[in-house]
Amino acid sequence: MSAQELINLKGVSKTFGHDKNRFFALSGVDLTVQAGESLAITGPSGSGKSTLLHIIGLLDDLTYGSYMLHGGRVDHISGRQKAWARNRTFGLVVQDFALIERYSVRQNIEIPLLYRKPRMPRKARMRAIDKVSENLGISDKLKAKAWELSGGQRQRVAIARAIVNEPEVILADEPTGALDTQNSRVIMDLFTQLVAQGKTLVVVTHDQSVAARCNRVLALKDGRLGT
Amino acid sequence: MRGLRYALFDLWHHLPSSLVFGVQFAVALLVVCYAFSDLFPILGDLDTASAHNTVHDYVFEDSSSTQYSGLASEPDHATNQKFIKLYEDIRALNCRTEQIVYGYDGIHEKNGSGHGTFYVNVGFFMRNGLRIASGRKFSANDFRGATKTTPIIIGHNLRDRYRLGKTYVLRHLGDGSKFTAAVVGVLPARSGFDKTGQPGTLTSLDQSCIVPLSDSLVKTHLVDDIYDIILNTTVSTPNLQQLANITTLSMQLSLPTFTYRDVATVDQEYAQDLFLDAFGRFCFAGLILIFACLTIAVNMVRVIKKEERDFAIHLVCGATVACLCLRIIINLLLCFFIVILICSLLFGFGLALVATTIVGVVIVVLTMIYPIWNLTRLNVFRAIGGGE
Ligand SMILES: Nc1ncnc2c1ncn2[C@@H]1O[C@H](COP(=O)(O)OP(=O)(O)OP(=O)(O)O)[C@@H](O)[C@H]1O
Ligand SMILES: [Mg+2]
Repeated sequence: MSAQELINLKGVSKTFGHDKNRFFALSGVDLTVQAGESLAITGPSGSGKSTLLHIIGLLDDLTYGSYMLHGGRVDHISGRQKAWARNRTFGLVVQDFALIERYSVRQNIEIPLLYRKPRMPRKARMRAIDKVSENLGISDKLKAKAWELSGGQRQRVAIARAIVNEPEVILADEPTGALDTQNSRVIMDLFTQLVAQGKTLVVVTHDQSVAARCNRVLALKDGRLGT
Repeated sequence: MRGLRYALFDLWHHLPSSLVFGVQFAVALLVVCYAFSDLFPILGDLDTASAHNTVHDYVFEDSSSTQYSGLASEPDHATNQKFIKLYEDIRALNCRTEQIVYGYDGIHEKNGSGHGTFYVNVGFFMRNGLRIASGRKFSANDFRGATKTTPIIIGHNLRDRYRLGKTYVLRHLGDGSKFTAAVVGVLPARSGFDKTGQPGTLTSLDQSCIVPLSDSLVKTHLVDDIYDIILNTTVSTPNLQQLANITTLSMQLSLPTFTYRDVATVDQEYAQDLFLDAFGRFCFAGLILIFACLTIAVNMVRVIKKEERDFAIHLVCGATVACLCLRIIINLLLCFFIVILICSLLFGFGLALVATTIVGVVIVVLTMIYPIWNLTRLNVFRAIGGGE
């Protein structure tokens, strides 16, 4: 096992339902992600892309197989440890950006910092938010409520929230799904920049141009990985 | 306290549902306060009632009050004197008397208005099937004259003049003696009792004060013929030998003879009566509490369902289900305490408030079980619109 190996999935399967309704969303997926690489996962709708990202991000448990993160098994750790890993190791950007509409931009970005252990003092939290929002060009919007933002701004807030805690891995589920090509490109520029800074990127996408900008592209079909 | 800050923020956001919770809590609180206001002293009295049993062994009661009907209408001075003599002899025998004495004399206030006063014994409420509109019935302690303040129960029409829970200094019309009385209960409207056993002779208690007849009161007042009628004399004595003595005495005085009952039975009946009373209220309050719990739980599930997306976002960002539950509970408790605060400012609930606070916390915790269970099964990706 190389020292660079960050994520290692072996024979991962995920089933939903029971008995007759039992259904394999993922079956026997082997996947290795090196630190610092960018990986695109493509595939038709319902092929299990989100489910895979879900499992990588420790938001769901796998049914069969093993999952090693930093060379240690994580498929049987406690909920608290998983929450901790979600907080510090992964930054997640979802398709519709999942902002809390009634929170201000600052509050939205602050959420991961709130769950950070050890606790972060308020001043440090504010500094981190200021820094990341400046990088993403949303400094002037920090006081605005999430529902006041345009699509492109929402996206940037979602990314700011995903990276504010300086996670090692950025997981993005169709980050450009609802955007025009111009905005998509801006987002991908951002991601490329982050990868250049040493972050690892796993992006689920339908968009070939997005996939083309990643080091590696994997195709999922009926829960199985191809190349 | 970032938890508190977020809880406050959420409280503001959930203001409509918070208000619904608030009203539900307040209604439950009021009902519980009302229903339990007299439960606590009653429970205390059940204990002392059993201690009482060891002191007296027998209670003597007249076999039927109709025997007295002649006596009841026009008692003469001589008859009164005989009673007093009997009473004193009984006391000399170191026995205890418990009598229902219907005095036409009254208690009056400083301004001079008088009301009928009834000195009653332990069986009065039970025998006459009387209920209480608010407050409590007399406890076994009240009949022992254990407290300096005499507890009184007032008729419906006096409820504005004498307030439940307030203490008054009253003066006896007969001998002018003053005594401190605390209003512990109010009778329902049109309460009354049948004095003579004949139909259509109900005596109204609407204008009356009812005073428990304790030994000390008997001693103070049974010295003059201020009592027009003495009925239902009940004597308790430590042993059967005393019964013989008293029976002899009353025969010598040509008074009716007494039958006897075990005092334990009398006390037990009384305790049972008080218990059934409390039990009824307890069930009533319990039903209301269950109802409140159910509606709050349903409301809670609805709110959490609505907030699923937000919870999911927090989970994605590294929250644990436990932190989220804590936040919801802080939120609910905040709501609850705001309601309590407002209620106690308005009504000043006192002890009942403390009790219902505990009940309230139990409600909150119980109603949280289902929503929290639901939260642990939350499908994060579904909730935030992924995994279509
Ligand atoms: N919680 C669940 N319960 C039951 N079935 C599920 C659940 N989550 C996902 N599935 C099923 O698993 C399969 C894979 O779902 P997944 O969301 O991973 O697809 P996807 O590749 O992300 O599709 P899309 O491109 O449309 O987002 C689908 O058939 C879906 O219905
Ligand atoms: Mg998907």
